[in-house]
Order: sequence, then structure tokens, then C-alpha cells
Amino acid sequence: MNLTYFLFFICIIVCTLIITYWAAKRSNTTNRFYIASGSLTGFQNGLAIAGDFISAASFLGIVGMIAISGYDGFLYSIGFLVSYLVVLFLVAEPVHRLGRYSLGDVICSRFPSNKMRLLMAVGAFMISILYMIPQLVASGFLLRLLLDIDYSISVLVIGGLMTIYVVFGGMVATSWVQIVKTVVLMSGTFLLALIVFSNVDWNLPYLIERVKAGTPLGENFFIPGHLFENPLEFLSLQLALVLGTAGLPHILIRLFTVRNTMEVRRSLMSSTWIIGVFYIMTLVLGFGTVALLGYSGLIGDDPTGNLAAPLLAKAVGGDFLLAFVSAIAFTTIVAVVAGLVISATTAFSYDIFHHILKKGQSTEMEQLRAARWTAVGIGIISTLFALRLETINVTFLVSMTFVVAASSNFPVLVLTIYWKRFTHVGAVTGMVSGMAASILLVLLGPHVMNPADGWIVKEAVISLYNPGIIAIPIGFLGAYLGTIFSSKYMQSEQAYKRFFIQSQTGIKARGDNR
Amino acid sequence: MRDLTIILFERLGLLLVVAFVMTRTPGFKSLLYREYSVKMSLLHAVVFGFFGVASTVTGIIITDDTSIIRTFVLLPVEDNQLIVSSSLVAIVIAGLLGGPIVGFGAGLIAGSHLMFVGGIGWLANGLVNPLTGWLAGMTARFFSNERVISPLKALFIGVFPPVLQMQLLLILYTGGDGLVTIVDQIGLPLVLSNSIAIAIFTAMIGIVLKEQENEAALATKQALTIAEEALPYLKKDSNQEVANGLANLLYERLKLAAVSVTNQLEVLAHIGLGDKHHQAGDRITIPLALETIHTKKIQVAYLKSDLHCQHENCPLEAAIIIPITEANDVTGLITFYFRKAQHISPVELMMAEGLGQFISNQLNVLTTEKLQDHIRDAELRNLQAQINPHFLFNTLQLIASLFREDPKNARHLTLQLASYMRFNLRLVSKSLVELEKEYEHVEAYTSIIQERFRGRLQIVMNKPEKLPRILLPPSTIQPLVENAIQHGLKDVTDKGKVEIKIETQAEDISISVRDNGCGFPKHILPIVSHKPLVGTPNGGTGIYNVNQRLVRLIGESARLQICNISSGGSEVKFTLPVPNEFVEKQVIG
Repeated sequence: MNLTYFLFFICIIVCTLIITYWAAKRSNTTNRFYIASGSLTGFQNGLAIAGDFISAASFLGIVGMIAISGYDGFLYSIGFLVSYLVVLFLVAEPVHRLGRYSLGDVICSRFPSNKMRLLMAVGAFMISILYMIPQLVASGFLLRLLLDIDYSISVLVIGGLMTIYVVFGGMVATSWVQIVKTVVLMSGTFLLALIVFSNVDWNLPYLIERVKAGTPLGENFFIPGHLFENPLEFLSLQLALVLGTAGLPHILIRLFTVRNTMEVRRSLMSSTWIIGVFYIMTLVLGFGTVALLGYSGLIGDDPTGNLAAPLLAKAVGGDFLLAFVSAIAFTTIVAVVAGLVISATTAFSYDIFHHILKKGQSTEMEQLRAARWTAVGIGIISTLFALRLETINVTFLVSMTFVVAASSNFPVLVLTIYWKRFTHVGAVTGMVSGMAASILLVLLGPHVMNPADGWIVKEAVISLYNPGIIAIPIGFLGAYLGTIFSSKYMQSEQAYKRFFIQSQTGIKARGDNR
Repeated sequence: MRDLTIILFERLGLLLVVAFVMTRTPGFKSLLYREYSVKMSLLHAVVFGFFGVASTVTGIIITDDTSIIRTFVLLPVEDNQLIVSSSLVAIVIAGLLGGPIVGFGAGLIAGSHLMFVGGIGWLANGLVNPLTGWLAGMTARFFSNERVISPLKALFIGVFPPVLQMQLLLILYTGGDGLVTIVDQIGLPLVLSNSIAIAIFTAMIGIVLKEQENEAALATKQALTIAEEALPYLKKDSNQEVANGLANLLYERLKLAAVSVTNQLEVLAHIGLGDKHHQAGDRITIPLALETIHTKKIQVAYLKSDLHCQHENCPLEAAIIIPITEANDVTGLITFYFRKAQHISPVELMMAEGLGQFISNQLNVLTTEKLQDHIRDAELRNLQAQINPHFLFNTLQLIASLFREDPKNARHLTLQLASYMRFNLRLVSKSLVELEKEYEHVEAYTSIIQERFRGRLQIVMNKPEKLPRILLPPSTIQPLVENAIQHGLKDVTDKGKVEIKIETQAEDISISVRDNGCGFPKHILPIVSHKPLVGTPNGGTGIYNVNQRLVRLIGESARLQICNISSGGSEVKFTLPVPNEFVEKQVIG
């Protein structure tokens, strides 16, 4: 391995460990461990949300996709950005007002029961694990490509690091790792984009000319239709992305780490800006790759195009810049997986251990110990999974995560907050039907059932790679039907009004000690 | 690449040595001490900017065919040469320490110099410095609120400036692939050497600041100790003694160039350098000192001209003038003299201020104590001077009854009463009287009493031929006699006896009053001289008051010794040292 790469990696690891050490001294209460005691400012939290959200798939994958498929590649990223509008306008503030540490809190503030909480916790746990495994697997491959380290060593390193951050530093360390990641990622990408521009003499038309010359698509590079031949497929994917974010527990629990709803708004505004600017820069990087490397230069090393950004860095800045960009990619991965570990940990140790097993009676010390052991367990389990799944294509898990979140968590959250007649039975049926439908549809889809290289070598029952357009309505339908058939459990007007006022204003009715 | 790393480390080592020596000088320390102000920011920016320039001068040159030239960069370089400078180290430190503006300023200086010496990438080199300084300042603000960031964090932050520099080089120079090779070659060595140098530099500054904190703590402790040690000198009565004692103490303890102690008008003591021409008795003429007296605020003379010394070769160049205040007035000044103005650090200033306050406080406490003693004494004497009206009536009645049968005796008693009353009147204004006068007083009293209780009471007075000329608080013996008669002999109707005995011994004189009455009740005996027996039927404050005055005015040795006698009755006794030289003290009231 190249010495330059190695030193950059060591530097990143040491820095994040320093942050963890610093945070560990402060993570001595559950409040700090789960939500950094709400101490982040809106802007800091915005950076952290962006750090939580922009995965290696976004950084490396989308640059590659733009370089290969042009317009469609960029369109792919639009869904990620637009989803923040849904989060901001529909769920963010009520979630902050109703919840304390987890999504279970939010739903249970309207339908208080252990079953409900268990269901939410299982949902959050599953979504986090489902998302974490492909991230780990991808990171293993990525590090192998970038650094030439063995797959299992890279998975172990990343799995170990994310576990250490969460076990010792809790939400404080996770937040700061994510903040550092966003700062490094944004500045690195920005400078790389500038270098690209400098290489074409700051001449945008010239860049476009070279892009046209570089890609086999020629003029058509800027016209849609190269990635998504089927418009339904595209619509389905975007629907899952746009609505899925509002159901992703690891993003939503970040909303608890600020003091008030004003800061929640500020967090989301800043993260939306950061993510938006980031995707625009990926556009430049994608164009730059095609323009400076050419199509063949890009897919020569890796046909998926995932190495577009590092290859571009190497072309314009040599080994030094490549090492820096690889280090950025590495930080990107650890920040995202650390966020996932803490969300799974909260779901298990706070919802299941504290509320359900101990009936809310466990002491601060017990909770902390449980949370730390949970984090260790989650780290080990997901690392083991990732190690075993080296030879299996797990990219479908990413789209499945968004579909599951959009068709189970999202309908239940929105209906709980806004629908007067919603009942707890409806919430349960919504969760279950959405989750079951999305898992089933993915299993029946071409990701799994594929005559060429699927697990089940057969023609897919459903031709959609992203079944969101079917699964999401099923989730809503399940919730609706469950509610209709259980209308005797409907809450009184007054109870709903009280809940609604609390969710919209944060004011609790007198004598309401929940 | 390895060679380059080693060369860069060598050059940085050179700079770090200089930096280390700099941090050891009082000048640099005072740079860290000063409060945040526009002037200080400017100074910091200039100092670190020039440090950046020095880093550029000690940098190396790399040509576009990647050969390395190791000479110092003193003159502008060729167009195909790139300067590899470590100026970013100083700039980052400036930013971390002084904030974005200081960092930017320092970067501007170092950057302009880099632009001036030119070469490949002159623009990138010039721009990266102010940019880095500004960013480092922002980073320090964003990540931590400590004054000096921890070395580990600095190590991490230090990685990024060279990366930024490399990227700016790549952005701003598009003349071909040659630069990419150069960046590949110098990137890692710069990252390594700069980040480590930044960490070391931060650690050095951290150490200096920590030292200062320790010094401050020590100074506080020392000030306390000195204030404690000064107490015995402050208790001295003469101002001259106080001044000499204090000056000696401060000179020895603080290792100053010189110390002087003055009152409001003139120097009382000057110890240390320049004592040939700075002498006790000089009038205070320094305007700063007069200002101190006027404003009651500590003043510092940083310039030799401020000291107005007539002597041309006076070695004293700077001074801290500390006011000593008593009851809101400046009653004196303590001046710490220094050989150089740089020797005055905030630690010294703090210490001086603290000491001034401590000493003023001590003096105030002492004054208050003295004042209280005087008030108490005056109160006691006033009390003593009040003649019991019963005694007066009884005596007058006695005299009236004697007029017919024994006019001579009546006349005698009248004179005795007059003498007794005259003494009591004088009592108010004097805190000590001669033993002889006191004896006369007792005599007057006893002759009146004896006449009143004729036949029932016998008072025996024993004294040496010649009473020594010693002083004692007035009206100490008479209350004891009165007590013996009123309490000791109250149930005795016959053959009561009171014996007053004055005995001279080798070194002291003992005075005892003895009666053959009932003695002190057991429960009163141990406390009678320690607290006033107010409100008890058989008690009073007489003995307590006497004891108080004896102890306060003469000392512990004069404490009353009280005992019951086995054959009946009691004895109250006290001793006075023989050659006692109590002077009449100034008494307030």
C-alpha cells in the first residue's frame, strides 16, 4: 500500500478517535448518549444530518452514474434532495415536539402501548441494519479498490471504528464525526470541482464540448433515458427516495439533538442547502470525469463507475489528491455507519430494554450499560453479516431500505400526526402491511429473481427493481383499512385535539404528565 | 520523497528551535499575556507574519524537473522554480491563537513575501496563506472554546493547510502535468512536517501558558504568606519601625531590585539598589506617586523618566506603586522598583495589587482592634468612675451623724470622700496611674468603710515602706475590697476582716485582698474573672472588669488569681512586673 494513502487514513482514524475520546468524557448520561443532550446548534446539526445522509453511494456512486449515464444519473440524486422538503414540512417539527429519544416515543405519545413501541423499535432496528449491511459491504469493496487492503480487513476496520464511536462517544461522538465528515467532504469536493474547472481553463462551454467528446453517448448525454428506460421504474424509485427519508430513523433521531423547533428548522434548512450544493458539485465531478478521462478510462478499472471521483482526482492531482479523496470516502463511510449504529442502538436499548423489558424503571446506569452493550452487539452482528456477504450482491438492500421506510414508517408517522380518526390498530396494520409488502416485492423483483445472476434463477414476478410505487400505497391502504375496521377504538375529539396541539405547538395540556 | 521529508523536518526544526527560544523570553510571554485589543492583534499578526516570512526564507526550492535546491530563499527565484515553504505553520498558529483576523493578517504578510519571491505557483502560495489563517481562526472558534487548542487537535487541523495549498496549486496552475508530479512529491512531506510542527508549536505555547497559570497561583500564595509574615511588623507602634520591617521583608521575599515604603509625604525606608541616593526622609515628588495617593489606585511606571530620579545612573527604571489605605485614606505607599520595564509581568502586577490589599486590610483590622480596645477601656473606666449612689448616701449620712459627736473624724471623712471622688473623676481621662495614687484611693475608701462598720469590720493594710514607682490601671484594688466586703462578708456581723497586702518581690510586686468571709460559691469560682455575672443575685461585673483591664493593659501575667482559703474566706491576688515602663498611651475618647 502506498505510504501517502496509509498516512491519510491513519490521520482520519486518529482524529475521529480523538473526537470520541473527548465525547466519551461527556457521554455519562442517557440524555447525552442518545441525543447529545440537545446541545447542538441548528447549523452543526445540519452538518451532521448531511454527514448522516450522504453515503459513500452518493459521493462515489452518483459521480459515476453521472459520468456514465449523464442526465439520468443527476436525476437520480434529485430524489435525495427533494425528500428533505417532505421531512421539513410534514414530520420534522412534530417529531421533535413529540419524541424524546426515539421514533417509538413519537407514535406512543398518541397510542401509548408496549406493542406499538415494540413494533416501531423493530421497524427502526430492521431499517438501520438493512441499510448498514450494504454500506459495510460496499465500504469493504471500496477500500479494497482504493487501498488494496483485503476485504475482510477493511470491513473489520470500519465495523470496529463505528462500534468504538458509538460505544464510547454515543451521540456526541457520532455527531462530531459526521460534522467533520461533512466539512471535509464538502471542502474536498469543492476544491476538486475547482481543479476540474481549472483544467478546462474555467471555460464551461469547453467543458461541455469535452464531455460530448468523451462520452459514447455524444449529444444524448444531456438527454434523459439512459439509466431508466422505464418511466414507471423511475417514478417508483423517486417516490421511495422522496418519502423514504421521512421514515428513516437514523435521520429523524438527529432532530432530537437540538434545543427547539427553531433549531430543527435551521438544521433542515442548512442540511438541505449542503446536500443540494453537494449534488451540484457531483455534477461537475461527473462531467469532469467524462471530459478528462473519457468513458473508456472510467470503466476500465471498475465497470460500475464507482471509482469515478478517485480516478478523476488521480488524473488531475496525482497520487496525493487521490489519497485525499480516498480519505474523504473513508470518512464518509464511517460517519454514515456510525449514525446507523446509534439509531439501531436507541431502538433496542431505549425502546425495548428500558421501556418494554424494564417497564421504564431501569436506572440511568443500567440504561447506559445496556446501550453500550447493545452498540457492541450491533457492531459485531453487522460486521459478521458484512463479512459473510462478500460474494453476494447486496445493493438491492439500499433500495429496499428506502422502500421499507417509505411504506411502513412514513405512512404511520404521517397518519399519526395528521389523521384524526387514525387508531392504534391502523398503525399496526400499516406498519406490518407496508413492511411485508416491500420485503415481498423486493424478493419477487429482479434484484433477487433474475435469470442471469439472481439468487433465484427465474424470471422476476414483478419487473420493477424499485417496488415503491406498489408498496407505499399498500402501506397507506393497510393503515386505512385497519383504522376503518377498528373505528370503535377511535380517540375522543378532545384526546386528539390535545395531541394535535402538542404536536403542532409543543404545548402540553395541563395535568398531562406523559 | 523521503529526502524531502527529512530536509523539511530539518528546516522546521531550525524554526522550532528559534520558536522555543522565543517562548522563553519575557517579551514573548508578555505577548501572550496581554488583553485582546486591536493593537495586540496587529502585533500578533506582524510577529507571526514575520515568522512565516522566516519559514519561507528557510524553505527549499524545487525546480520543474523535481530537482531540489537547498540554499536559503533570499532572492526572487526563477520562473521554473517552486518554493516549498513551511510558512503555513506560523499562519495556522496565528489563526488558532488569535482568531480569523490575526490569522488573515499574518497570512497576508507571509503571502505577500511569497508572491514577491515568485516562482511557479506564486499566486497559489500567496493566496493560501491568508486563506489558511482565516480558516484556522474559524476552525478554532468552531471546534473549541479553549484559549490554546490541544496539540492533538492541532495535529489534525495541521493536516489540511498543506492539502489546501496543494489543491490551490493545482487549481491555479494549469501549465501542464509537471505540477502534478511536483505535488505528488512535495504533498506528503509538507503534510507530515507541517502538521507535526503545528502540534509541537501549539504544545510549546500551551506549556508557556500553563507556566503562567502556575506562576499566578504561586504569586497568590506568596502574597498571602507575606501578608501573614508582615503582621508582626504592622503591629509595631512607630511608623518608622513598620516601614523598615515591611521593606526588609518584601525585599527579601520578592527579590526585587529595590523596595521603598513611604507615608503620605516622605520616604520612610528604601532598601535595595539605589539606596545611596534614594534615602529615608526624601519627599515624595514623583507625579505618579502623588497620583496614586490621590486616586488610591495602583500605578505602574514603565519609563525611567516617570521615576524622575535626579541621579543620572540610577539603576531603577520601572516601578509599581501600591497604595496602602487605612479607613479610605491612602496613608502610605509601597513601591516595587525594577531594573527593566519587561520585568513587570501581570503576575507581578497581580501580586502587587494583592499585597497592597492584604496589607491595607491587615492595617484596617489592626486599627479596628485597637479602636475597640480603647473604646472598651474607656467604657470600663467610665463605669468604674460612677460612684455607687448608695455608697455616697451612706457616707454622707455617716458624716452627718458624726458631726456632733466627733467633728474631727467627720472632717477627716469628708476629706477622704473628697479625695475618693477626685480620684474617680480623674479616672475617666487616664488609663494608668501610679501605684501610690491607687493606694491613696484605696486608703480613702477603706477609712470611710471602716468608719461605717466600726467595730464589726477590721481592714488591715500592709505595704512596704516605699512603694515602687509602677503603673497600673486605676481603681483596680478598690473594687476588690468592695467585693470582699459586699459579698465575702455579707453574712458576717462580727469580726469581719479584710487584709490588703502589697509585697515587693525580686521581679514583681504582688497585691492581694483577703477576707475571712464565706468565700466564693463553688459554681462561681472558676468563671468569676472570665465573664460578667450579670443578673445573678450575688454577682456583678466588678471582678470581671478589673481582670479585663489588667490583662489588656498589662498582660497575661497580671491576670487575677482567685482562690478560697481553707480556713474560710477568699483571696484575690495579682502581680505586676516591677520595672514596668508603661507610658501613658494615647487614649481615644
